Amino acid sequence: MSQDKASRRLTRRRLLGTGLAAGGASVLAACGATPTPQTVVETVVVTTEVEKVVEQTVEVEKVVEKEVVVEVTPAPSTLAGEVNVWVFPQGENDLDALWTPLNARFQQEYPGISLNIELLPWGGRREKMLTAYAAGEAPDAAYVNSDTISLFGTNDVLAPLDDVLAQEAWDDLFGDLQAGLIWEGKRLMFPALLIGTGHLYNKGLMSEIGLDPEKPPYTWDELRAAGAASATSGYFLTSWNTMDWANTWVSIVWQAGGTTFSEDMTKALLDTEPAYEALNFAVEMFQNGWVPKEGAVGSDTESSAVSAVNYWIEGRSTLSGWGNPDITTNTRTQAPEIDFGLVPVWMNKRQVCNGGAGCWGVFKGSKAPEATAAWLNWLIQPEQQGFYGSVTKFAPPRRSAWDYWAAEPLPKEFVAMRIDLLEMNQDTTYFWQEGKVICAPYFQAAVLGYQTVEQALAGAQAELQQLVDEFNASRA
Amino acid sequence: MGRLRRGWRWYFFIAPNVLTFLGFTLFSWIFLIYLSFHDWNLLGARQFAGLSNYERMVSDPILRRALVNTLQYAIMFVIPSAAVSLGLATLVNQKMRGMYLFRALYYLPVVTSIAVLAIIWKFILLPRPDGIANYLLQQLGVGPREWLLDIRLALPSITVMQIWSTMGYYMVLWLAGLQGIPEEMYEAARIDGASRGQMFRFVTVPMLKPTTIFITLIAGIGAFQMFGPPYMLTGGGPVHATTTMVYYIWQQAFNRYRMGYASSISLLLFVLILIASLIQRKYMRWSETIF
Repeated sequence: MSQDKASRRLTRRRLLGTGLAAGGASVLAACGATPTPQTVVETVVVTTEVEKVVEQTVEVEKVVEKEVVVEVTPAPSTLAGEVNVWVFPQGENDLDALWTPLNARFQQEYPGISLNIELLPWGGRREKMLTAYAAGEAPDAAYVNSDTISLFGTNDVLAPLDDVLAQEAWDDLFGDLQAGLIWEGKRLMFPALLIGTGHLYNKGLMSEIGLDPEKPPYTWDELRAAGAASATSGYFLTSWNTMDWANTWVSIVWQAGGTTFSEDMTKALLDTEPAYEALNFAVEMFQNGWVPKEGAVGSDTESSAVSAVNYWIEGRSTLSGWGNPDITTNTRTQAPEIDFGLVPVWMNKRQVCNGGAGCWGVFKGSKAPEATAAWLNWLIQPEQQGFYGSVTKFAPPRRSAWDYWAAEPLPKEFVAMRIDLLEMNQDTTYFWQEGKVICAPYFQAAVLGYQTVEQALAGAQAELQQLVDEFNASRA
Repeated sequence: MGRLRRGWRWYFFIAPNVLTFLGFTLFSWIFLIYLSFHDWNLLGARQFAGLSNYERMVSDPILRRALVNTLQYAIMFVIPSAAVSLGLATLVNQKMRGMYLFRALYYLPVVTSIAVLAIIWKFILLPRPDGIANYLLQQLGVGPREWLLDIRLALPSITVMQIWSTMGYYMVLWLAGLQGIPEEMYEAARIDGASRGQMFRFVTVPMLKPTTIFITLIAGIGAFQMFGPPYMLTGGGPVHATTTMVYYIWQQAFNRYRMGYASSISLLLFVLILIASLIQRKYMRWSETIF
């Protein structure tokens, strides 16, 4: 009883001791390699001492009067250095809308770190990074999409982030995201935003073509039926581009129950039934007029690979093309007359969609690794990730960041609808660029009728297998 | 040596150009040759590959396709481009009101970004009956075509776009040549009773020979180096129908990360341009006309 009571007592000495311990811990934490000072909310127990005579002994008892919440803002970090970061546009005015406020907040906490954010155009993104690294002029950190992980991983370009970032940040990531960011057991990138594309559907057009406007098509059979009904009424079902590796190939072949490469990366699998089914589906789309034919040929820069005409916005397509969450808000702005709904993730044998991530990577040659690590640790905090997502309109990849993500309900619903169906695997981790360039001419030959599906897949299979063999030989 | 000592001050004047040439051209050249004997993906270590990149060139069907496409394009582009721009220059060489406006309008595509031009031409070449090109064809009683989707029409379509987008530049060069012809020569021809056609044939054309050589030379070199339209418009498709040498070099370097192979193709391209220029030199007799 008295022991129990004693353990609950807080004497001045104990209070002082606790304070010293906390202070010491803070000092130690501040001396760490990547300190991340934050505004800490502490509960301080305020006590008064009351003397009571109990059986001729004097006992000092503390009576809790009230609990006061005090905000303790630690002193700014003394870490110093210059951090150069390359970023690419996610919105119309990223420097002012996104980076200026983020940098201002960062500078408050890290006044000694000079942060240079360089906003580069998307065009030639890989060329710029590769040539800069080859010339020893790479930035300290950069926005790197997960499509480059095999190239960077094979050549030991990026610093592993396992020990740089807190484990709780990794554990906080949605679903399967980490799988695509690991190269030979090391995590080389941390997601900045979540990529999970999908479609909207035009309810008015659904009624017009004789389909239930409250039942969006999403199984391949339903999509075929909707495609036929759309074409009969002079509309398109959706749009398709043979250069779009992630959406019009990888996702489709996954939905057919297969993959492009074997898990151990020793085989290309375009000679399998799912690959045949996937390309056949694409051929059906083109040759039946369910998608605009001009999508068969286009730039291999995905951002430029759009049709000259946006049939969705013009109200001439039952489903939109593949879009990010902001397709919801963009449609509302650009075509307010369209009454639209969200289409579930497409499904054949599996209901699955490619879940890529725009990521942050730290280059190995960084001249200020500690300052860069501090910046990245700070940037991936839920508040910052939420703000980043609010401005860029992409979903934050950390669960806890969703509390800070000021998106409208529709984009949120768009992401929530597919968050558990996103997948990353060897098809997107390896050979994204190479696969696209090798396969697109064969896919074009098939959809435009220059080759049969079998001929096209046989040609693509031979070239992809050669690529895989060369890759494995170079690593042996 | 004595001359060198006497004129050493003048070398300061050519030094910037010489240094730029050494740093950005000669060094790049030597490095290119060196790279062509190596395997390198820009990031990892360079590995000596002997002649394997050159062997690969011999057995690469897409490279053969790119080579044929480039030659076809050069043939389709150089003479028509020179002829169209000469016609334009002759038209805007008249002394009429508003001629400066026409000159500016014809020059506008030259200073327009290829990205913008690509979007415009995507609209023009839409493969459906309501595409602009198809609509115009239908007015002439011709059925619609799938311009960029047809492997026989894709390269000619791109050529037309390129002729349109570069004609303003060549027009200015022709214009300079035309305005350099002394008026007295036309007067003399008129006194001799020459018609307008004869004046063009016997005065204008011979007097424009240096300009002709210059334009065909740079248009030829430009044709061999064509890159923008396949990059922005077709991705080299359909089925490699618009893959040119330079586009293929870029693909090998930055999509396939084969810098060594890309370097060896670059050398092949250099040899081709050199041969084409030497043929031009022989048949157009540069040395007599220009040097």
